[in-house]
Amino acid sequence: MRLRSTHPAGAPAACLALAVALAGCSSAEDASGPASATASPPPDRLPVAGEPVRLVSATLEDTVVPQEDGRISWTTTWEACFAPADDDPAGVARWEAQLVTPEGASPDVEQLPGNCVDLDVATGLNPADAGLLNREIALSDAAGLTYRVRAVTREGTATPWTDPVRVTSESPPG
Amino acid sequence: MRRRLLTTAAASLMAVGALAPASADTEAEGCHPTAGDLPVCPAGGAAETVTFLDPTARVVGGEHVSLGASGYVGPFAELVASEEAPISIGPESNVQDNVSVIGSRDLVGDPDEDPSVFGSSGEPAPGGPQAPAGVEVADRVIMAHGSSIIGPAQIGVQGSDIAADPDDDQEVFLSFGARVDGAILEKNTGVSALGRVGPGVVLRSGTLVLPGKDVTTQAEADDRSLGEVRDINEADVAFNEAVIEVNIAFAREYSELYREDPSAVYGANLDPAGVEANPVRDLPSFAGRDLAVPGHRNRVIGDVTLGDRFSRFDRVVGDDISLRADEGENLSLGRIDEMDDDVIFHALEDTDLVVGNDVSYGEGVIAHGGGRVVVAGEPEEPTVIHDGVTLEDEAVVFRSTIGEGSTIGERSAVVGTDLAPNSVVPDRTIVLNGEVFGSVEW
Repeated sequence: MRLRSTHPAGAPAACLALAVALAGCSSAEDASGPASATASPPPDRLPVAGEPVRLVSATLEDTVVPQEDGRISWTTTWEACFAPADDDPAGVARWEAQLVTPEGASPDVEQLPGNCVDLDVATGLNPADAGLLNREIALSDAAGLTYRVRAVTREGTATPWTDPVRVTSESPPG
Repeated sequence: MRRRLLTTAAASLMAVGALAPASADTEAEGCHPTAGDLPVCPAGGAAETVTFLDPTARVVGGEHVSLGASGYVGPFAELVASEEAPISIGPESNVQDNVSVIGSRDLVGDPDEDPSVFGSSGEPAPGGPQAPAGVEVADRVIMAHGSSIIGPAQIGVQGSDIAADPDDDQEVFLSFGARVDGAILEKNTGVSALGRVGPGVVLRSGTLVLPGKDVTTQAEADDRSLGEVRDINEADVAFNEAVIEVNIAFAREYSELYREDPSAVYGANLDPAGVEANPVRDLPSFAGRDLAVPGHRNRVIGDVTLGDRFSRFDRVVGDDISLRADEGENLSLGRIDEMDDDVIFHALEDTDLVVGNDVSYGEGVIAHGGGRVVVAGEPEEPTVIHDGVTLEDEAVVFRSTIGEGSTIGERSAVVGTDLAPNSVVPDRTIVLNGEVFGSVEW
């Protein structure tokens, strides 16, 4: 999982179009580096206060980079960004996420490097005429995951966890 | 079926012992799950580091089985090893319900006698390398419900980092009903539900076998355009890491539950709780009555709500059945028409699973809770199996709604799908997101 800065709603389509046309649209990883989230120590017991943070946007973005050998390298990235219920980001000391799988909720609480969860949910390197090969099956697998997110305030309290946000879901609906 | 297998295996072991073949060169260090070190291995270890084996797990040749720290071995799993075909399983790996890890095909008798159990291995891929004798499973390997490994096989030992998983922790995932038969799976690989990797094939780091696919040649394992495999991505890695952590917690929590009350890890009984969202231990309920039945032959764990009274439940269900609500989340089954052996139901936090009345369950059915978005922006739909559904042998249902009166064929899987009433899914068919993805090739 990586942090990426929130980008305008039109960016995904523009990125894809540019990538195909110019063979050079950079992926998220290229742009910001793979800044991994870190797992915090055992689940803390922070006092819970306030309202859950709210989901601002959830998007799927395809990045396609043609290769010289006639193949394409492509990645589909899901990004979900959150904001404090009171819209005051200055009050947030850090953002945390918990991953819930069909096999159970991870006991690890991950510290996000920002206010977004950012995850590559499909990737491939294949002949260009095959398109984004197996993209849909990869997205289907990724849809088994959900994230809960909360903000830890500068006062040392944590907001309640959000309802689970399903990976690959889009908001507003795509 | 697996009960018969154990009988065969035990008999075979006796025969093998009589022949006294050459032993494997070395056997890995670790805890050997033998008398005194069951169900917690090692018996005196700290809860944070021990491996827990559900008391229903069957171990043959335990002195030739080595288990690393913080592992979880689920109900009715079986580990069948011998001196010449040992099994080693690394730290933080899990062997979930009804998983079979078989050191050598020789240990399970003549596959031609009952090929439905483990089939035949098939011809090795030409020029393919052979794993060392037995089964070697590295650390952080997930063997999900109903999966199987038949030696010689090696899982997660070789291989390399991949871009999607650059940290030190590398995982391998075998999904529901997947099989590794005489193959080598490098670290950072996986096999989707009902997929298979055959003898002599090496699944390279960064590769995941697609649902139902049977990878029998090295070309199929390497070339994405042949349609058998795809690349592993960050979401796969995130999933694996979370599942590993969940099962590490199970190892600790079940061990603690056992040490508090040894009878509590038998039969129909408590979940271990211990998770933040569900700190209270729950009992299953039968027709509205909470009940602990430690002596029962099946495992019914936690907040499982059954429509049948216990006496009827006992009468209509087979053996080796695992109904798990480990995290105290509700798993609701209506009146059962019939339930064959080896059935697995698993519902966990935020993954409600509801099953209607008069559902018929074939042998080895796997039903798993999980939500899905049906209408964007609306609350998710849980997994629901409506009244009068027939689930044939080895059918898999996951994150789906199965309409009333539908039939899911043998060794078929329905994932992320809303099936209309009276639908029929043919045998060996993968239905994914409402469309037929392909057939189960083996």
